[in-house]
Amino acid sequence: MGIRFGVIGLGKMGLLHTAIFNALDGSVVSAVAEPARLPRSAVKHFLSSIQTFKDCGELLKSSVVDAVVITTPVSTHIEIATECVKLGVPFFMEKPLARSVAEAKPLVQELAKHPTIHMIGFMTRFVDTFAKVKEILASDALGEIMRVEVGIHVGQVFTKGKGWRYDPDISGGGVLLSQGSHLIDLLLWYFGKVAAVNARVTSLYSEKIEDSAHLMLEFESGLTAWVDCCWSRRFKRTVETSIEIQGENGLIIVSDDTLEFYLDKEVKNYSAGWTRQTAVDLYRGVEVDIGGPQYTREDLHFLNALKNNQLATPGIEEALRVQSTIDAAYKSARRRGAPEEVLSNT
Amino acid sequence: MNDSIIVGHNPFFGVDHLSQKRGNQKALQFEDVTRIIDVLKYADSNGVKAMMMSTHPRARPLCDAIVDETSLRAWRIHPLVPYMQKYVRGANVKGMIGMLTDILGQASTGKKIQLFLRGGSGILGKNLEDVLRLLVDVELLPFKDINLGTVFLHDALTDLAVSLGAKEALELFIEHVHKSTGAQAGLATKNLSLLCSVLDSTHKKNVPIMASFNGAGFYMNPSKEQCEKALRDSNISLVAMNTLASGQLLPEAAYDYLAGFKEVKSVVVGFSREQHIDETVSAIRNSFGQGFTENNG
Repeated sequence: MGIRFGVIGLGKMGLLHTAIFNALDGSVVSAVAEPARLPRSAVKHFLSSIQTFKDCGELLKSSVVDAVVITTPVSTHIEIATECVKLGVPFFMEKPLARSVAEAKPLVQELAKHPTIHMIGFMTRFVDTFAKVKEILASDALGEIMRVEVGIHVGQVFTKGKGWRYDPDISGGGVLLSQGSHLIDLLLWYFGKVAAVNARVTSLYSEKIEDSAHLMLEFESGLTAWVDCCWSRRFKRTVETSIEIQGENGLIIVSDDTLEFYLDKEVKNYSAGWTRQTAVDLYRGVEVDIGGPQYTREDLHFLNALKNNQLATPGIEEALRVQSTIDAAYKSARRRGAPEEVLSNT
Repeated sequence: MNDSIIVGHNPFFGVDHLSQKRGNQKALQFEDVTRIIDVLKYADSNGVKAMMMSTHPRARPLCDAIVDETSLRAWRIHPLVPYMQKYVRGANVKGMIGMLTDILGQASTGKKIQLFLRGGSGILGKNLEDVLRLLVDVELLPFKDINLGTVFLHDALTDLAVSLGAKEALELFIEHVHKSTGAQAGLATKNLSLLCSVLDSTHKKNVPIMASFNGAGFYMNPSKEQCEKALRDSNISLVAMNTLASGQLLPEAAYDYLAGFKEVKSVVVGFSREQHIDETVSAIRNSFGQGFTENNG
């Protein structure tokens, strides 16, 4: 049977992870918890082997799960994850970690007292093209990094939204926290900690959250990065992430589907001139593909961590760094873009 | 499946899996629906008479234009339902219940009354299967006047059902499409090998499967080799898509590879220019033989 998973929150992401963990070799979904009646009814009707709970507390105490996936609205993340740690239940939680660093404190303290295997779902690290960039940067082939410009765009919000994502009391923020957190995680993974942020945010259609954000990140290394996030871009059918990294030896231009890499001269195993790799070149099949191979790889990483009793990454430390960078960005935006120091949490 | 060459909708609707920019350029090129009709007419003169079409917002005006064009009346349209972006965006903006309520609101009053009489509260409890049937009906509304081919379930839903072990949901779709429209149902998937492992022999025989199949192994899960084995062992009818691996393969080599599998009954191709149509149809005929394309219609 393998590791028994419980999924808490059966929205879009909950369904996706339920399907993947149910199909992967070595895991099965044995229970779900969801307050809304419709998804619970659907599970009862079509998936009789999965137990349903209205309340996640009941699921956690039911002894029918070995680990859980938390895919609930952001405002509930910390309470549920903290309860998991208290009960010794490993958890995979969708990003972002919380609405703020301050809110995440009980979870940080509980994890320090009772280390528990966990992972936060910054899945962009598992996209082939972005993972390849990490490899190139780690090789130091580009030399000193001089300039970084990144963007994440999608055509999603063109009216005043109605769901929880548009209520900052529940979501914690708009496009910066929701989509931009993926980008911030990638940049921290590539370039280390951020020291200070300047940010401006704009509401284009939403009332209480930002639909657009512009950030300038200053890393501890002295590198600066320009970041642009917007979920109200016309003609962006799906989320499009783009990164341009200029180093002393060359340039990387990367998106979800294509990696272009230029070097002035041969460095280590990388040849001079342009190298272009597409998603087709980099494609590796996965055991099951639901919504993109990156989600499967991410879930597999967590499953393997459980099987081998190892740490999974990104975990609380990485997620806190993302959160403190975004906290600083929101503070800066409230002060019309004045520089804001990123508080060190780890 | 009688249609050996099926024109894919992606270029017409601005979908490009490797470049959104290229997709947008195509969307601009085909903003005027008469330009799509011109491409289809040229394809028709090359013996192609079928098109795959998702329920994209542009499906309805395109279907209307096809119905109005006398020379395309024999064309068969194979719908791919639902248009997933609409559901994903709707769920993001309005939540899952709000999104479903909006979409079901498009059903005719008669259907809504039927649903009400069957159980009152609509989308809860025992009415779930009725709601799913109604969603299929709503998705097929743009195709009501069209010569309907096989109705394919989108890979995201097929794969969700297979991974969750909800085979009954697939059966519900297959039966309802047949009962409601008289058309054959098909299943699109990104997990060909996994799907083949759960289908029973009746469905393998009667339900065409649409999946990526190409010499590059692109979008073939868990691997090209396992998909090839699953195809050979299962004796299904495959509608091959992504045959050129998003433009990475040359047509001749790509279709030679596909022709090595007798289970490949149809090939979905993306056309946007006359020269491209000539080259593609010729390459398919060279690889599969003249008889393959003569099955059309």
